[in-house]
Amino acid sequence: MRAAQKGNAEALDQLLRRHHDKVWGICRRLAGNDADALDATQEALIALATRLNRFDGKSRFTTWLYRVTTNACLDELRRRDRRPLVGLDAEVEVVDLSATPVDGLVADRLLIDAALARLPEEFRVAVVLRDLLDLDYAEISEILDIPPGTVRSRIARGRAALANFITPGNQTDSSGRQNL
Amino acid sequence: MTMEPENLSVPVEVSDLDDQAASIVEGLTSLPASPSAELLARVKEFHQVRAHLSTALVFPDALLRDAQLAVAVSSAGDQVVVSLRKRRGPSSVVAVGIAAAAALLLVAVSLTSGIFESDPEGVASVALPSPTTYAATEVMKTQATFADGADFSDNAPIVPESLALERSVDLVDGFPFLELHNFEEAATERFFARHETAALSHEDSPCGFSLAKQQELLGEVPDGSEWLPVEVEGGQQEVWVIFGQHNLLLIDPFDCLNMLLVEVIVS
Repeated sequence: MRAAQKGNAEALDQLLRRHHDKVWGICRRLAGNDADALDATQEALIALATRLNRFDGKSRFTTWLYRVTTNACLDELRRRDRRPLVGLDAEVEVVDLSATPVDGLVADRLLIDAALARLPEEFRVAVVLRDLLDLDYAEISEILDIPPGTVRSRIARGRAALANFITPGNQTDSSGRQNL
Repeated sequence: MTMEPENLSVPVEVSDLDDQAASIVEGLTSLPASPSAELLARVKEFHQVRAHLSTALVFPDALLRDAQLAVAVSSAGDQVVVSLRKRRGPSSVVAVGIAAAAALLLVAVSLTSGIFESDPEGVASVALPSPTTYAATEVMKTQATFADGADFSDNAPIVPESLALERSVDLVDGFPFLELHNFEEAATERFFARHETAALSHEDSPCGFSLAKQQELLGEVPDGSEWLPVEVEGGQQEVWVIFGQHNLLLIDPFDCLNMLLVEVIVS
């Protein structure tokens, strides 16, 4: 890492490559779809590359990496939200799980993905950092710069919202369609 | 068919049932002896959510990954300079002066003590290209190894053939260059072995690094250090490794500026 900080391109490539899947995982979970996640991942990698020399070793490297990645992904997703929307980019495709025979497990996963994409950002981030990266409350608190108690509350409330959504009957809207 | 996405409704407060289910899923409490059907169902749902979200996501396309990394590395722009192995020589007149002074001092010491009687000229030829005061320690190590009359002419390798690592070692300006990445796997294995045994042993640094210097280089308080031997074709090669709780640092004993910091993810 030190070589990468000093500007060694090969070391930087290896460092980013080692963490690429984690960066992708965070952005993919936060974005909710592949297309946005790809762009967010690229932005996160650029942010990591250009800010690496600012890492001062006061925190764990992965804590710093997750913080930069999370912020970069969210920034990119917010930028997308502010852009003029064209065509289907602005919308979420309705998936009628009853129309196509799919494996129950796959259907559950689609349901959770859809629910996560609709979870308000502050809850989504906390749940993703906890469940995807298995970080403890203290580290999430450091990454998000919020008190650990707030982290615990957001995770619990976010997870409850997701669980409510996947509970049979809860995910249908007033018209009776699955609200995905 | 499409529709505008709506935010999911998030409960303002966590109910007692959800709080209990969350604690169970987090492993903070265990399931009661006679749980209610409601609690069991809720725990199952929480587990389902967590199990899905904890599934590792692998990037779908290797070529796209390479392209993304290339863009990121190039974005570092002016910060990306020549690799470490190209920065071995003196980078300024001051550095040359320091290195030369260190070398001359070493020559003087060696002539007085008789340590380097076999070929004192070789000391200067080794020490001069090194830009920092680590040169002194480096030369001591090198000379201590080859004080048996080995060839110290300017163009001669300072590592005997028996120790040369065919693909890991090459020569840059007459120096052997250890490709430290080739030792990374063995060092990581050693890192975990030390973690299991809670080893805290320190061995003498070949580069004269104080503990404070080691901490600065490692980015954390070092737990210990040791020589790491790696079997290669034709013999054995060693690098010096500093271990921390999260990182390890491999150091080329022949060139104390050639280092590789590895961050180890402990699951």
